[in-house]
Amino acid sequence: MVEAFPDETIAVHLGTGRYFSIDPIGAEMLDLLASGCAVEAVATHLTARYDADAAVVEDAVMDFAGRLLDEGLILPAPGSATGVVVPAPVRSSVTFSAPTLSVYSDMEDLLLLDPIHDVDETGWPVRAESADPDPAGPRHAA
Amino acid sequence: MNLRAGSRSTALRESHAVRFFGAASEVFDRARARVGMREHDLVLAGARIRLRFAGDALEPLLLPALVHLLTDGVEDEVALTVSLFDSASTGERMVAPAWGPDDYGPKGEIVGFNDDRIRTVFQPGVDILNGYDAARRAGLYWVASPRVVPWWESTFPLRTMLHWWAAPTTLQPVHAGAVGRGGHGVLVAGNSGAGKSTTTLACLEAGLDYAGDDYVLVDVESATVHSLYGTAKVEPENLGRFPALAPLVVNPDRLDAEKAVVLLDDHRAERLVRSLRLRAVVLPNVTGRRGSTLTAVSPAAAIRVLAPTTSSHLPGHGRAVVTKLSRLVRELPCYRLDAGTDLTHLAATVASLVEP
Repeated sequence: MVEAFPDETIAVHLGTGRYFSIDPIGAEMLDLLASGCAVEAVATHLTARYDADAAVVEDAVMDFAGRLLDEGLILPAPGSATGVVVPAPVRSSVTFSAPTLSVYSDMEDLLLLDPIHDVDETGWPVRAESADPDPAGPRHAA
Repeated sequence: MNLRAGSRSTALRESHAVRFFGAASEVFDRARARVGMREHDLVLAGARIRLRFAGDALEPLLLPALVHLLTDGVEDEVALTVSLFDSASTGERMVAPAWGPDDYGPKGEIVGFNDDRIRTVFQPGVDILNGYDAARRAGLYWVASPRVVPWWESTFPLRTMLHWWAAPTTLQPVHAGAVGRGGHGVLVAGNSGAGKSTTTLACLEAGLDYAGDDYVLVDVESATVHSLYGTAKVEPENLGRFPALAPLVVNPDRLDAEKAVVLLDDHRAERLVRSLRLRAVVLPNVTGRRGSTLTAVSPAAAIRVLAPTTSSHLPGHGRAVVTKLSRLVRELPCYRLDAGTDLTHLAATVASLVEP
């Protein structure tokens, strides 16, 4: 899911619990890619919008799309074309720069599940006698 | 290459979830028939919440943090009923789990037993079963033995249950503290170690009103914070900075493995408030310098702190957490609080946000 704020967009992968901060150009790319636009069409659109070097923009879009794919924020669409039409570009006075995707994964350690050591006779997991009930370590769950 | 937004679907087995919740509830009914039941009503954000304890083993572990919310009025409809019991003291064995060892999700969510109506969580290693039936507004809390209840559960009991109950509303339990004055307050948000407790306790000891240091309930529509827990937690090595609290610690013999816990209803009841209208969100950052300063930050900076730390603790409804908290930070000014070592100045800096 995505929440847009002035000058920054926050994307959240609800499955992994990873949070991402994306700058405005990256948010624009994500929006176009997530709506089903082809990478090449997104690059053409942004080249015109920012009056930028086509090769630079295409490299940036390819790289950013790859990172979004790696993080599971987008998935490849089946087939070779979706028929999604890229909107006409509105010229921007901003200088194009490669987008940034910052990852906030501080919380991931809290999401690690304790391994199930054993179960009782009815099937409920039981804690190892010496196990700390707090996966983040004593005193730090709170 | 064409790309589209990712999505994940999970097959729902609602009938299994409902059946398990019903069977587990029947075990509670047998337990209360066997050992008796004690009921306590709380008022939270104007809603009546009823806790039904089978036997008396869990009550001293889970109720002390909530006593400031107790009510003896009977006029309101009960908005949530939570049934709590353990097997060791009641002699009633829980029904077998209706799932396998591979069905535990990252936060203990049982695959196939969480849907629009039923929530089921059992986190191995924590070993507390939390179940919730939204259709009946009923919760079920079970442990095999009171001995397995971790110390920190006593400082924020039922936060998972309250999270589920609040999901369809504008309320949200938030991993944050809250302090204030004159009915106005500040939400103090940060990861563990960021200075959240130091900030809220500095304010408490400086005479400010206190709604919590770790988990509070926020109504994002009215920007109001409601107290959930009347506890204060201090890292033992930090206890020397709060000399008036040190003699009040309830677990002085276990500080090698636990934070120092103070029950404020016993000692600071006059400063323990039920609700505050929020004026700001502050994000503490311990600096080591003497003085404290406030610097305005963007709502995105606030949501980067508030949402992950909250949703990482609370199973389910992750989208709602982010949406609600985003609404809150858009409404309120947000600040980074560079928290200094002078606690009087730290409290005064926070208090400046709620002065008339």
